[in-house]
Amino acid sequence: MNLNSSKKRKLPLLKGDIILIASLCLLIVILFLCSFKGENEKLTAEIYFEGELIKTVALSECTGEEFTVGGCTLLLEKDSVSFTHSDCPDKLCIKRGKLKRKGDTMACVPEKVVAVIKSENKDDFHIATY
Amino acid sequence: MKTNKTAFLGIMAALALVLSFLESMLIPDIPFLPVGAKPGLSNVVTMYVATVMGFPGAICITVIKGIFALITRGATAAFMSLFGGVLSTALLCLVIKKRGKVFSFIGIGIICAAAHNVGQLMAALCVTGTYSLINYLKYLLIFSLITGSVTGFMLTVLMPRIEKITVKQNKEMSK
Repeated sequence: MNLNSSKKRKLPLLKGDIILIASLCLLIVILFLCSFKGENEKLTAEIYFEGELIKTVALSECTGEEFTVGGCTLLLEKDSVSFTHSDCPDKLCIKRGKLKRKGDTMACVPEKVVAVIKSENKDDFHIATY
Repeated sequence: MKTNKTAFLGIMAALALVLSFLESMLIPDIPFLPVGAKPGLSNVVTMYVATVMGFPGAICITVIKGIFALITRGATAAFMSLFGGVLSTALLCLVIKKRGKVFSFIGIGIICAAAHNVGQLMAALCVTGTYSLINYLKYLLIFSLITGSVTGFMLTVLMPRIEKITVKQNKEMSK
């Protein structure tokens, strides 16, 4: 009886499943590799409202000022950006906490505000060659 | 027969709504998880309905979920729910015919979850108009790999038991 039940418990994965999982993993790894190209770069925060870039700041130069756009307020600190206030109902943007690394993105979809961390690749390269 | 179908869909829709409400209460905001990502327990219901009734039933559940989101969480949430739901339901119904041959429920669950997340991300792109949101895709894909497996596994376990109870009704409904 025991043998029988343990036989049943084997995961019923089929060929398609394994191919699917493998290809998804590969895609994820590729996406991660793309965003980790070069770490110690100068980071900038870009803030978009309704699809338009309205503010770009160098993160190393921020000193804790607040920036209000749409129904959202963002706190620009040294090396991080966070949402501190939003008029939206679910407050997901606030729960996300601080954006620190390159590629970190948070959108407050109802208020159409998006914050992205980007890096200045080329500038960094020039500095490095000096 | 029509009454039977309507009642069945009603029960399933209610179940889906309760599940999606429950999971929004149960899941705490863990910092490294993608914000707003949910396990998609109600996908179990959609997948079951798609297996039993095919595309029309599954799309009914999706639309009802969208309306529920509109009432409780506003227009943006409804748009995102509908966009993700319709995309995942469409893919689900394409794939469900291959069940047992190419994909098991686990593979189908992963496809469903991934399509749902990608659809929602596309909806978010449309609403905000900011393409950098694509950065978020990798986290969502990892998450959907896990949640899809979980929902798929749940259905693998549940299906034989449900079928035992409902074989008679299913036969009548598919007439």
